[in-house]
Amino acid sequence: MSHDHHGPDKGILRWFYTTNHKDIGTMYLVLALGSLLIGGTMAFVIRAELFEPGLQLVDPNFFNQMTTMHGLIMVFGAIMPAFVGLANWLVPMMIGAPDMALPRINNWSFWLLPFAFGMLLCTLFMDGGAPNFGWTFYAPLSTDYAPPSVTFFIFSVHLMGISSIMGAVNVIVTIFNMRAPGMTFMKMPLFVWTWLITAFLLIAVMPVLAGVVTMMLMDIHFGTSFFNAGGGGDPVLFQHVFWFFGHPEVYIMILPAFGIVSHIISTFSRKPLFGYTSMVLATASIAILSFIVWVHHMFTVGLPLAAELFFMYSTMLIAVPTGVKVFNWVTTMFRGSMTFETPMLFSIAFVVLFTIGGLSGLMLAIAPADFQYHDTYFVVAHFHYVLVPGALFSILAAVYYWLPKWCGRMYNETLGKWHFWLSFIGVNITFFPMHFIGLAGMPRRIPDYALQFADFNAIVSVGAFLFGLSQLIFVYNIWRTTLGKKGEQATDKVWEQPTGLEWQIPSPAPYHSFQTPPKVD
Amino acid sequence: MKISPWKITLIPIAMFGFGFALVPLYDVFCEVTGLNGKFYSTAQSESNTTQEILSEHVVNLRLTAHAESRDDWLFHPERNVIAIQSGKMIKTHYAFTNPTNQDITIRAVPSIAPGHWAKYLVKIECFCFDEQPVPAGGSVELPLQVTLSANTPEEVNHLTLSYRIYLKSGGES
Repeated sequence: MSHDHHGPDKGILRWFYTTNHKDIGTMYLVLALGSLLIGGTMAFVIRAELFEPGLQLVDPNFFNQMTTMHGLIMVFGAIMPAFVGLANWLVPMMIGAPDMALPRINNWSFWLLPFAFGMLLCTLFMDGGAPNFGWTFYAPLSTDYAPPSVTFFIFSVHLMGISSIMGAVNVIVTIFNMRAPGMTFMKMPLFVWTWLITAFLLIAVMPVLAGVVTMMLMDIHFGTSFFNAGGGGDPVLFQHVFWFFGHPEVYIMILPAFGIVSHIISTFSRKPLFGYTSMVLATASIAILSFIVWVHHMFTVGLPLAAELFFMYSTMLIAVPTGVKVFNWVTTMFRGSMTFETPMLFSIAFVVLFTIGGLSGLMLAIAPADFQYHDTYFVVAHFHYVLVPGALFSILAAVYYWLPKWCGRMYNETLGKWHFWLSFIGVNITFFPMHFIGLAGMPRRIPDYALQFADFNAIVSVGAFLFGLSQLIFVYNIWRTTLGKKGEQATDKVWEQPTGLEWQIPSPAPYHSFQTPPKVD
Repeated sequence: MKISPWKITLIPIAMFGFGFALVPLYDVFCEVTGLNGKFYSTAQSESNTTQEILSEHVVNLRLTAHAESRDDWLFHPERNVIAIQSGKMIKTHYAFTNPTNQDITIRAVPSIAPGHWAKYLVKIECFCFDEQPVPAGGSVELPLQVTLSANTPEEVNHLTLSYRIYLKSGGES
C-alpha cells in the first residue's frame, strides 16, 4: 500500500485503469462529443440529400441507414453518455462524497461503450449495409427485411444497455449511501434529484429494451415468431414492447436537463430556485406518468376508442407537472438580478424552446389530430425541439457552467456567446419550418419529396449546416480552455453566488475531493 | 437509509423478465378486450349454434383474402359476401393456388372486423393457423363453416372476416 499515491496514473493506461469519477466523467463527455460529431455528420448527409427534391447524393437505402444511425448515435451515443458523464463529475461533488459507490463498475460501464459504438459504426461497412429500419427498429423491418448487420446492432444495443444499467445502479447506490452527514433527501441539489429519478427509470426500462432486441434475435436466428404473424406472433406487439421502453427513455433524456437548468437559472438570477419541493414532486410525477402513456406513439395501429382516449388524456396530464417546472423557472427569473453569461443564455433558450417542443407534443397527444400528424415532419420537428434545444442545450449549458470548476480556467466568453447565438438561430431555422412542412403532409424518413416542399426544405438544410458548423466553435472553445490551457484562472466559486458543495472545493477540482465528508446544515 | 447494489440489481433482472411477460399479457389483454379481431369462438361448448330456430337477424359477412405481398400466389374466397343468420350453417371455402415451381407450406391468419363484434361470428370449421402444404403448381380448397351467434345484438349489421396467407416460417426451414 503506498500512501503517497494521490494523483492520477501517468501515461495512456491511466484512462483504461482509472476508477476516479472525474476521469470517467471526462471520458463519458469526450465520447458523447465524438458521437455528437459523428451523428451530426450523418445529419449533414441527410440534409444535403434533402436540400432539393430528387435523388442527388446518396441512394435511398443509404439514406435510410443515415436516418437510423443518426437517431441511434444521438440518443444512445451522445445525449445519454453526456448525462452519465455529468452525473459522474457532479453527483459525488454535489453530495459531498469522495467518489462513486462502485468505482470499478463505473470503469466497466464506460469501457463497454466504445466497443458498442465501434461495432455499430462497423455495420456501415458490412455487406448489406448498416441498419436501415429507423431508430425505432419496428419489426418486421428489423427482422424479416433487415440487413444481416442487424445482429451486430442487437449486440451493440445489449452492450450499451448493460452499460446504462450499471451506471444507473451506481448512481442510485451513490446517492442513497454516500451523502454527506446532514444532507437529507429534501436538501439534495436538483441535479442529484433528477438523476436519481432518471436512474430508476433506466433500471426499469433498459431491461425491456434488452428484452425486445432479444426477441428480435430469437425471431431472426432461432425460429421463434414473437413478431411474425405467419408463425402466430404479432408485429404490433413489437411496438408495444418497444414503446414501453421508448417513452420512459425520452424522459431519461430530459429529466437531468431539468436539474441542470434549475441550477443555472438560480445562479444567474441570483435568487434561490422558486418551488424546490414542487420541482422534485413534478419530476417524480413525470417519471411515474411516463409508464402509462406509451401507446400515444402508435395511435394509428388500430386501437379501440377507450385506448385512444385513455392514452390521449394520460399524455396530456404530463403537461401539468411540466407546466409546474416551466412556471418555477420563469418565477425564479422574475425580478431576479439577471446576467446573461453563456450557460444562462443556453438555459433561457432551453426554457423557451423546450416549451415549444412541449406544446407540439400536446398537439400530437390529441389522438384525432395525430392521425394526420403521424409519421410526418411535424413529429420530427417536435422531438428535435425537445432533444436539441432541450436536452443538448442543457448539456452545453452544463459544460459551460461547470467547466471552470473542472479544469480551473474560464472558457472564452466571446466565443461562447457566438456559439450560443449561431446555435440558437441555426436550431430554429432548422427545426421550425419542419412544423409547417409536416402539417402540409411531408412524411418523415424519405430521401425525396414532392415539389411543394422544396423551398422549406432548402431553408431547413441551410439552418442545419449553420447549426452543425457552429458546434465547431464549441469544440474549439473547449479545446482552448482544457488542453490549450488558455483562459483566465477561475476562482473557487467561479460565479457570483452559486449554491452547492461543488463550489466549496478549489478550482480545478482536486483529483480526490471530499475525502472527509463536509457538514451540511 | 443504506441500500445494497445487489438488491437494486434485482429490479433490472425482474424488468427483463417483465419484457418477456408482456408477450402473454398482450395476448390475454387482446382476448379479454376482444382487440385485434384475433379471438373468436370456434365451435364453442354453449352450442348456441345448434338451435333450430332461424333468427330473423341477417348480417352480411364480407370475406376478404390477402396473400403475403411479394409473392405471386392466387388466393380468393368462393363468395365475397354471404348473408349469415343464427341457426343457419354456411359452408364455403377459400381457394389457394401456388403457381410457382416450389412446394410451399402456408399458414392463414384470420382477423375479424369490427373487433368488438368478433365474438358474434361463430366458426365451426376454419383453416386458421393450420399448416397447409401446397405443391408446386397445385391448388387447395380451404373449407370454412360459419354461422351467427344466437345472442347477437340488433345493432350488429356487418362483419368482415379476413384471411392473410403467410409462408410458414419459424421452426424448420
